[in-house]
Amino acid sequence: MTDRRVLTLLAAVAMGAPSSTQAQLRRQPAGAGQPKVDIVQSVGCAERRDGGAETWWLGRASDPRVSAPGAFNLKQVEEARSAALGANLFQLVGVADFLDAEGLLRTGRRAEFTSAETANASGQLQAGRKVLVKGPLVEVDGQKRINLISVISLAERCE
Amino acid sequence: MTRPAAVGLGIVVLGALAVAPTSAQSAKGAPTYNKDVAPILHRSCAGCHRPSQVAPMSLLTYQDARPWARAIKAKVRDRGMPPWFADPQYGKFANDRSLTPAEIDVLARWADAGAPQGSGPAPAPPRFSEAGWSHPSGRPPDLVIELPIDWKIQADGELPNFNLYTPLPFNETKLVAATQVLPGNFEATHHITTAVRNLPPGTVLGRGPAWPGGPITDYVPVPAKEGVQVVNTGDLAVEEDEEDGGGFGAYIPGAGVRVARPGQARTIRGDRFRYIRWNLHYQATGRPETARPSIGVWWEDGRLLNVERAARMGDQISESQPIIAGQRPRINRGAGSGVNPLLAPIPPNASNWTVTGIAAFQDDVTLWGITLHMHLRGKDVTYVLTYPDGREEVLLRVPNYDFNWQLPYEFAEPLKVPAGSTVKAIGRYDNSAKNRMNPAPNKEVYWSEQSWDDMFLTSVRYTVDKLERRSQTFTQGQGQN
Repeated sequence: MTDRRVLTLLAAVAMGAPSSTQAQLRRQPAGAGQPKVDIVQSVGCAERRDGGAETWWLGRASDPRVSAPGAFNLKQVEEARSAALGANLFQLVGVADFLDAEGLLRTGRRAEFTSAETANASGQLQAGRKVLVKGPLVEVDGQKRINLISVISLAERCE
Repeated sequence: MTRPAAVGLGIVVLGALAVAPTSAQSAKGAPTYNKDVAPILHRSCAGCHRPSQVAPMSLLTYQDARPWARAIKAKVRDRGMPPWFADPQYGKFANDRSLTPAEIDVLARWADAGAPQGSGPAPAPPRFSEAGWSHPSGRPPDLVIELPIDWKIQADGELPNFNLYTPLPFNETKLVAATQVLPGNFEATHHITTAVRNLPPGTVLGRGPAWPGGPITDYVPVPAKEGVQVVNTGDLAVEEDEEDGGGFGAYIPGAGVRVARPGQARTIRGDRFRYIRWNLHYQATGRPETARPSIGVWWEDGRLLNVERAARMGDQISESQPIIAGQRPRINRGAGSGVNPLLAPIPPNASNWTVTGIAAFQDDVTLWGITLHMHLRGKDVTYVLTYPDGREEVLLRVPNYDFNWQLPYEFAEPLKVPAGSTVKAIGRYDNSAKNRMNPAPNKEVYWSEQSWDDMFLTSVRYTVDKLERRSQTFTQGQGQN
């Protein structure tokens, strides 16, 4: 069994839902074969740890489940609310758009063309919250990272 | 302001500024047309300023350009021409037609000196097809697909955007190296986009209204008669596939032939999609007009190295609220339209309505260019690349979006991007009276193809590195022309 299949199977077990449909939702370009990295979703606790103000982590994270590009749907969000936490730790990158406006403006060159009034910051990523995240999962120097494409806050407290 | 109004104003301004046809006295050391001016005009202006194109006057020859010398000076000095909207702080683009300060200075001093021609032979103007095709090689298309009818355009009033469908003249996957859409009537055409699609579910191609209450015509999808089995699934398959049937490109002011980079091609999925959807938007000119648009296709030439794809930005954040699919119902506002949650709707007088779309790359890719499409409320757009290590890079910023000039942005140097990267498109809309383009600041703005509503279509064109071929030839049927 390949690593990818193991990942998908584990994710299915962890989320308590069949994964075959989800796995088929991966939208790879025609003829591109298996992707180098998967887009995954996971439920966990948003945390800041060492490494700077914008270094964010997903602690007590559920096993990653292969997901599709694009927005979460209502069913996925509702399922995630009751999903069990896990034991994974993922660094979160690409966080700017999911912080508050102040956090967004501290990122890269955003302040050059964005103001506090016009920042499209969702504010969903706040320390201590239970969140559902989605993005490509990469591993660099043994550390797993999710480059965020979506963050949904599920609860004020992570339990 | 509509485009004809803008062009009309341009003509008035240019006319007022035109150089009187007196003898051209060359000031000593002044730039001359033959040596200094022609290369600039031929490179940056001739694409539109030539016969049978959208621009109101040709600038191909000295005789063409000389009467307009002072107008040229005025227009280039205020950066009104050539049209280019990318912020020079971010990224460099191969199709950047904007002039350098030195080039503007040359044109200004040439006008001030009386627009001298200079000595020696006049430089040859660039070659263009008399039929209007603009392939850089001068070669005519391998296949021309014409709309089978002359569309009649009324003299007055606002005209809605509408779709006609014609059968696709092939039923296999094709690789195209270049495409161009000719409007058949520049003055009366606002824009034309094409897509390779299936008919909407339950419909057949027939005769009916072009739009609700519109003129009766052929080539529209009409409900199938009871008992008639219809074998099509609409475009549901498009939703499942990152790259859909593709299209033959668009006619929009400022965009001519769309040519893939050497060794690249785009796919047209004739195996999955049966029709060409012509999305047509005309504008009244004050007199009755007709138009018969056509599509030119240049096939891939057998030296294919990779296939160009487009990554669309998935809707994620609208006015600081995360998008959740199904949370807000889509509202059907007519054929080909619906309320996208991203613009659901833009409130009256909102001056900074902001949306963010995000795409992710699951393989190592090379980025080649950017496309974007908004309507009259579009204010600005910024594309931000986020690498897997969290670094951000601004790929493009268009600080003053202009609906009348929907230009593609081709990177001067392709950008290698590792798997796990994302691209964000951040767009803002101005539905206030401060937006001089806004036709109705007091109305809510929905998502639809109509210009009085709005859209947010953003994408990045790329190739997948692992699919790069080496010296491999590819053959395909060429028998359709």
